[in-house]
Amino acid sequence: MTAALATLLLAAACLGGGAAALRVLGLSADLDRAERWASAFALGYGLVGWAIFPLGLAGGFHAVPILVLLAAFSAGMVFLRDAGPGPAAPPLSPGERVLAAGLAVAAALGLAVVLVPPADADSLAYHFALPKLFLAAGHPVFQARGLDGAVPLLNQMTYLAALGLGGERAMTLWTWLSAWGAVAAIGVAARPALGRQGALLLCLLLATTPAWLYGAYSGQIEVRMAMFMAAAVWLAVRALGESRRLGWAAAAGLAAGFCIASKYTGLIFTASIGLVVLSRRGWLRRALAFGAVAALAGCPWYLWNWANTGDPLYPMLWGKVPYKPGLWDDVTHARFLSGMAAELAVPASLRWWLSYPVVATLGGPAEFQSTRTGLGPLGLLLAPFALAGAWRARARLAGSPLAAAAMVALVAYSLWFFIPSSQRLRHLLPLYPLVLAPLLAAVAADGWRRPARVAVAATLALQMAAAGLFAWQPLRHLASGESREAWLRRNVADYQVAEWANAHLGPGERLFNTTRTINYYLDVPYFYAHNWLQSQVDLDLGATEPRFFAQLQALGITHAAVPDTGSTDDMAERLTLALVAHGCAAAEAQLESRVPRSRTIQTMGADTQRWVVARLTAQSPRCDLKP
Amino acid sequence: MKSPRLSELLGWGWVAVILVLYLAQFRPLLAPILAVVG
Repeated sequence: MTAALATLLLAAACLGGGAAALRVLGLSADLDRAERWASAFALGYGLVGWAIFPLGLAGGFHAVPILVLLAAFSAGMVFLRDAGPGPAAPPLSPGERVLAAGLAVAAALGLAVVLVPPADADSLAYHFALPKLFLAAGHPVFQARGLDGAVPLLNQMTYLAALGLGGERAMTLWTWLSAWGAVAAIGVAARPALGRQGALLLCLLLATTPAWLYGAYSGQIEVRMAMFMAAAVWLAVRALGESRRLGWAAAAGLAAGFCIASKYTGLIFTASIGLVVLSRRGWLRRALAFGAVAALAGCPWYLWNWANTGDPLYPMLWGKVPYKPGLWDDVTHARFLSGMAAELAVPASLRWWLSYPVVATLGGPAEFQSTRTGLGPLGLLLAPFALAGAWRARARLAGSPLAAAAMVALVAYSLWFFIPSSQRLRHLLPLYPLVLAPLLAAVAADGWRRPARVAVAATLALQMAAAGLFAWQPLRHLASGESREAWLRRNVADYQVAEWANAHLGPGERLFNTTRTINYYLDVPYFYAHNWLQSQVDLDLGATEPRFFAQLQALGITHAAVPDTGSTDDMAERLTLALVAHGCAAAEAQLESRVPRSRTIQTMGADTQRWVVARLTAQSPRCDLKP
Repeated sequence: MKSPRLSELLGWGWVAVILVLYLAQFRPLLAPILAVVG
């Protein structure tokens, strides 16, 4: 009950904050009811995340300050009131009823996924783990870890609010509600161009896209970024019609800034929106309003990184800007670059720029991660029909909002591809609605030929089946009465290490942890030592035992949990076992953990991992590594 | 200019080929998926 109330309060705060922003920017009167609610949610979601961060800097990561902030934001819902009764919506057509039923089924399947304890690896490593850590401290705690520590955390602030007010269930429910808020907001933005039935179709296609299913019901960011991107483009297009009033450009800047504050890739995605903002007469005033607001909305986490490290894009600008000492070094940076390069399967060439969407749709290298978390077959299936439709409607393309959306997506994709960071297809999810809406409109302009209709039906059938498969394990868990612990042992890689630590360590001890999937489930102090994303504990091949020992002591580590594989390649294992040999640590426990190959397709089996937990014994007379 | 009949035929061919190619990548997963729901 508390979880549901906390989730609803968060939703009310988003709607209220966004509605107040629309009112301040003078846009409320120009929006119909659906547009007002949709844009209020999209902007308000960002505003809530934005406002919670300074609350934390003031030491306010506690239930009462968060409650007060959300209640204050909720008051803005008064601005959602209609001036009078609007025109009654026509009843749903048979086709719309089918689509609405599909959406209800997809939403129910998603609900099952969030009613079980979270098990997504990235969420457990940081999307959910950092909010838990910050709440325990009462304020943000800087993590000098690249890519999953010192990163923009706007969305995670909303997770923190949910977790702080209603616990884990509220946080997972909030991922469900915010994902469906995103679907609704995107559908409303597409409605003028696609009509109600087209918008419902877009919503169902989007909400069952494999990458969407994967990210929506966890702490993954891309789904929420898709909402910001759609809102930013929609508002930027509206801004073009206004030469004097800058409210639309400012609102577009707000959504773009929240995209920037969500993930580093938000920087390149939103840069492409400049294309829209800068077109047509009056571009300078529009660009200034858009840019200033985007910078204000997007900057807090970059400033936080800069204040703590010297690098707003930590650790991307190593060697280019002055760093604070002890955080990063040349060796770690070389390993960081090599680790990043491992996510690139194909060269950033013109040929691959053209062929990536096709190859990634049909499989492609494992680095694309495009089979189970891809964008589905629809884009490729409909491509020839869309091209034919675009040709037929070529006279109407100039100035069309959907053509603008497609151009933004194209430029953003190009920037993403040619500034290589990772080639995972799911990272493009924020751009997918900007492609999907023009695609459906172009196919409609081609007259929805029978093969195109069959292609959409086949895609929906496949994607609904995927949504069912994704929810299958959670549904089984909910129906069987399986315990929380049993579910976690089955679904979370290395959960047994967290179980041991929570049972045997106290608040005065600190675990040296090398497995990211248990960060969230650790209830005791820990230091997560990624192999190449941090340098506080040197795990390079050249690392030495005295240095390792000194670094563990400096971090207050009392226990180290490392794999027990007998391999000398794992530096954490090698160095920890060396501490045992030197008498500076004693093996305290041996564990066996389970690493499932797939949470959804559990019949793919699991691997077993052996662990050793060593207790540091610096005071032992046998220890010969004393400084 | 293609006749409507030919363009429709091409459309059917395209949809069939892409669907087959798309589904082919899931072939290694088919047995484990069927085992999940079976």
